[in-house]
Amino acid sequence: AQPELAAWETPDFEEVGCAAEVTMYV
Amino acid sequence: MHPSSRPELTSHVRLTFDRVREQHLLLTPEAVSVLNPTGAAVLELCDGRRSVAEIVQELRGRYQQVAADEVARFLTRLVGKRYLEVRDA
Repeated sequence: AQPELAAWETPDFEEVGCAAEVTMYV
Repeated sequence: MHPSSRPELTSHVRLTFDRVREQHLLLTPEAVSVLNPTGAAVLELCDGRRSVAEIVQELRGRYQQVAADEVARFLTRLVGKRYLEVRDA
């Protein structure tokens, strides 16, 4: 039995918010 | 980004998962960034001990056709934003 490998996608990130939103998330 | 480099999140950056929005996030004092799942998987392995080559090797145990150059480019972008620091071997 082979473990199922997930599909690879190019790793990426996108900035979506500013300092005020950081405070809200935290 | 050299295969022997050992990347690590800088002290002011926090990697977390927003359970409400089901998104991986990078929090810095100045900004929130959303990561895609593979981006989060890469960063979870950036502990300052693993080299880039070891990170790619570990990812190849989880994903099909991991592109080492894509991992290196992603990490280089994060170093440019000062979200990551790199220890060179």
